[in-house]
Amino acid sequence: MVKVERYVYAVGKHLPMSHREDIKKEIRSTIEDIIEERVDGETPTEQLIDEILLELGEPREFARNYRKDANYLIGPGLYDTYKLVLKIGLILAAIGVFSLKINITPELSESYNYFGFIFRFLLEMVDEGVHVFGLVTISFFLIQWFGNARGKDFRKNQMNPAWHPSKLEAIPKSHVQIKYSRLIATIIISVLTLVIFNFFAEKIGIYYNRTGDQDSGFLQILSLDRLTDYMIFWNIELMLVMVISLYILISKRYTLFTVVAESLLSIATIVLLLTMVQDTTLINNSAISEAILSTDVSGDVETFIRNLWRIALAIIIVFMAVNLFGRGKAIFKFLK
Amino acid sequence: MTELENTIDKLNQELRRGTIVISVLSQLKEMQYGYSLVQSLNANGLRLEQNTLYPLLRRLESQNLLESHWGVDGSRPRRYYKLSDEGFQSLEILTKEWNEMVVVMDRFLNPKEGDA
Repeated sequence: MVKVERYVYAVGKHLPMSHREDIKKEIRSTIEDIIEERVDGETPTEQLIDEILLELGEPREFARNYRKDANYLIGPGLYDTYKLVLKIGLILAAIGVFSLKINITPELSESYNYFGFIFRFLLEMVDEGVHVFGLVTISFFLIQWFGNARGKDFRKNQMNPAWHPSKLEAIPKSHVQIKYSRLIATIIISVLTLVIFNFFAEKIGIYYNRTGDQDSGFLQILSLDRLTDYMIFWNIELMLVMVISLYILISKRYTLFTVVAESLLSIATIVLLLTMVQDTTLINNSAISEAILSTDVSGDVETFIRNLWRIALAIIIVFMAVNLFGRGKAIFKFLK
Repeated sequence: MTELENTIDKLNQELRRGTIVISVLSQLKEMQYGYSLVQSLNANGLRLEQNTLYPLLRRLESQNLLESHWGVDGSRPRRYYKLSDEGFQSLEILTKEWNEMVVVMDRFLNPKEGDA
């Protein structure tokens, strides 16, 4: 009967949230009806259950039937591909905007609005996101439209002949669903952080134009010597984060081990970040003072620059803490 | 499957689609649960896959043609379906349409001598 539960779970994954539990309950009771009719009071064999599940067909196809009557901009046959392309597109757009903006040179002057700069950066992210979303959606809509006009049905009518009940994945022990996008984002961010801080640390800072001067200047915010000390810990930490994320991606489930490991790594990250926020020697004070002296910058901007690093870290810490709270809840669920 | 077989298969599916709805409605004047409905349809010669029937029942319910509720009969909970008032009205109209269609189609497909 484990397979029946797995089958119901697999169908449920592809059902609309609103009716999921209700439909799952109905499918389960139907399968039990069929089994009961065929065994005639005896215990059903694995073979019989396989047979029945094969008759019902691949879970994804089963679930698709619940969605096929709606009018689609993008039909079920294309929808999975559409989602995948959209995700890849959005990730690439985010990386694109990020790498473009990193090279931008805000003018270091009294009147420069740094918050405005960050705001415009976020706005551009949203703007690009909307572009990608529109472009991908329109492309898929056109494929669907012309496909329909030519009588091409993108629904797979044929059952996947390779599908077999033995391929059904185990039901995750907790109710925690795997969020693939989060895991992939974690891995991408870890790789980017490792690459930037290990190989391009000397380029982190503020690029600016001196007032009345043609040459642009560069203000290195971090003291590289101090940063190296921290990087040993960061490299170990981020490597472990990547290993755990990959492990969850491959095994397709959370276990008590992975949830605890993720939580411990989150705590380690927060501790490291807190230490770095409090470490005044990590900021390249002499360079900042020098840069401030050579420009006619007011005290406000100076304070802002000195605090910029801390503000960035503080935001990450808050984010991590919220994340950790979620993990705590997951552990609680596991123990329950 | 050849192109022709594919086309025929598709036409056949279109042809069946409407008849399945009328058949299902006709069997739900009395309350039934999904599996008993499949059996009664099969017993009357209409082969219907489980994965076609259940989504269809949901759709008909969302169109207010059916009413349903969970009931416990014997060992397990089952979802029971029955025609709603609107369902009864629809079935009546559809049955009339169907009977007319059968006459017309019969004229087309089995022309008798003397017919124009």
